[in-house]
Amino acid sequence: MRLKCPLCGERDRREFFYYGAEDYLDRPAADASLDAWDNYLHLRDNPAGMTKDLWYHEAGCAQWLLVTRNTVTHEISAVELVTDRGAGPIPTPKAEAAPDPKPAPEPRAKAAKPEVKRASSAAAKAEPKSDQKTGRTK
Amino acid sequence: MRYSGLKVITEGLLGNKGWSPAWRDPAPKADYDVIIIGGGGHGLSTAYYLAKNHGITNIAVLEKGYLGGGNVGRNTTIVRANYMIPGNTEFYSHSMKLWEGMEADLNYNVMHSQRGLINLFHSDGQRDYWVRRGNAMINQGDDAVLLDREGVRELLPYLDFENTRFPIYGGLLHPRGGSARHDAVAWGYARGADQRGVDLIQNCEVTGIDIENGVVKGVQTTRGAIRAKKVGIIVAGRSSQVAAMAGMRLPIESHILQAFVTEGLKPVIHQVISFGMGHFYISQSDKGGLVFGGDLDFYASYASRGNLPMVEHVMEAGMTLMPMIGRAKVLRSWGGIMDMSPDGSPIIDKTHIDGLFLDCGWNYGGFKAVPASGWCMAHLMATGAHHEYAAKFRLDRYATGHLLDEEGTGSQHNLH
Repeated sequence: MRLKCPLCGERDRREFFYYGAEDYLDRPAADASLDAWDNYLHLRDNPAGMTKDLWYHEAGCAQWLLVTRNTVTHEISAVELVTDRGAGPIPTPKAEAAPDPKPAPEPRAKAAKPEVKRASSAAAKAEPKSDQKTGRTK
Repeated sequence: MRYSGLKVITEGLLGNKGWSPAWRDPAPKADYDVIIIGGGGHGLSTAYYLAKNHGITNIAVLEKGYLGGGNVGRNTTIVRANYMIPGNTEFYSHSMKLWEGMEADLNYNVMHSQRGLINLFHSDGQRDYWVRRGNAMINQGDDAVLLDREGVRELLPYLDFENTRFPIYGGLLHPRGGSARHDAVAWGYARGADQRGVDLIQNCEVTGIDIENGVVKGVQTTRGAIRAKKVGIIVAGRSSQVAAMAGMRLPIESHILQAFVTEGLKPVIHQVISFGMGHFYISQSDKGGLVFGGDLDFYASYASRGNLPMVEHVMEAGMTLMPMIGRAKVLRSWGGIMDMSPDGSPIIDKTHIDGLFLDCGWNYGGFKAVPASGWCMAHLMATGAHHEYAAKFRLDRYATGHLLDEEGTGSQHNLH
């Protein structure tokens, strides 16, 4: 079985991780009913025939793919990127409902740097002269 | 007719003219008390126990093809009672006891061979897991023996003990575990049901389920309409299609499991052996072929054949575990349609439609469950109450959270 990844081209089935039906793209709101969540997580059409399911190209471009295929013949009709389809990433909860963000951690008190006597400071002052002599660009 | 050794000898001397068909081939009547949709292992055992345990005999088993032509017709034949969580352990323990009395009960040789089943483990963590499981089995009243590395070597000297990638730490032995002849159990239950008056109707595909005001009235089939007060859907991998006829969506996704048989060999593998590195298991049939399999292909499929990556993986696993089998020729392979449930455990329940019952979600473990599934489904259909051994096999448990997550992987079809 080969899937033609839109980015990587035709690749062996081994490169992909099958997740499940395209139902997973229609995630209910966090406060949706129990039935809506049960439907989303568990109930499936499970057709003997054309289906659309989600495959992750884990050994390739790591993109999520929506594959249109036939579960009886294994014929693959289409492979699209989930992002192209506009389904996008899992929606984040509404701003009001989001918990208060944690306060930013206090910056750690910086340890006082020990004074380093630079033995080479005299040499550093002398350097520009040598640079000018040799014409080295900094 | 009763089968016996004496009958075999007598008939042999009389030219074998006295044998009668093992079951009738009746035309479907216009109505029955009960219709069982699906003439596989579970459907046939349900019909048998409805007749035997509950005295209900006005039953039709409707099979779209030939009896036992589905998953019971091709599987790796393992019979075991080594589950771990409450809800499952009592069910499979009961099933094992039914297997042990089956041949006497059915008067049929199902070649049930309690040759022992060994689950190998390859790390400290895996050993801890199998110790826990063995204790769960013993608590249930079944049998488990912990073997250390030398204990395994005594029984299975041909394993690769030098394997550093998967060193053999030991194994859990289930002495009463073993195998049985898959066709025979279907035929035994078929014959038993038929003898008690059940009509076995083959080449009869259900095309619709008739429901009025939330009450089931009967079915439409390729051989006509048949009325019934109670209908049981027992069709394994086809559950979604049949349930859709009743307007239902199920928590089932049908996946493919491949299995393989080699040419006949002299007896070399005397138990059922399961490799702890993954899902590889092997035994030897009485015809001599090595019967083995591994993981699902891991995508939804009704093709009844799998793809080569999993074939390669299964062969690799076999060669890793026991290199001696490398010379054997693989004669045939097949793929079955597995009704995967979200938690990997089965469903034996009523539906929201009065008189409509459902038995499905066996994943790839339905064969050992044939007797107890029939026993418990018959109890449910006859009395309306769940049998105590299948009380937790609820259809709505995914919504209520009462999962039977035996493998601890989560409530998702692709994780079992």
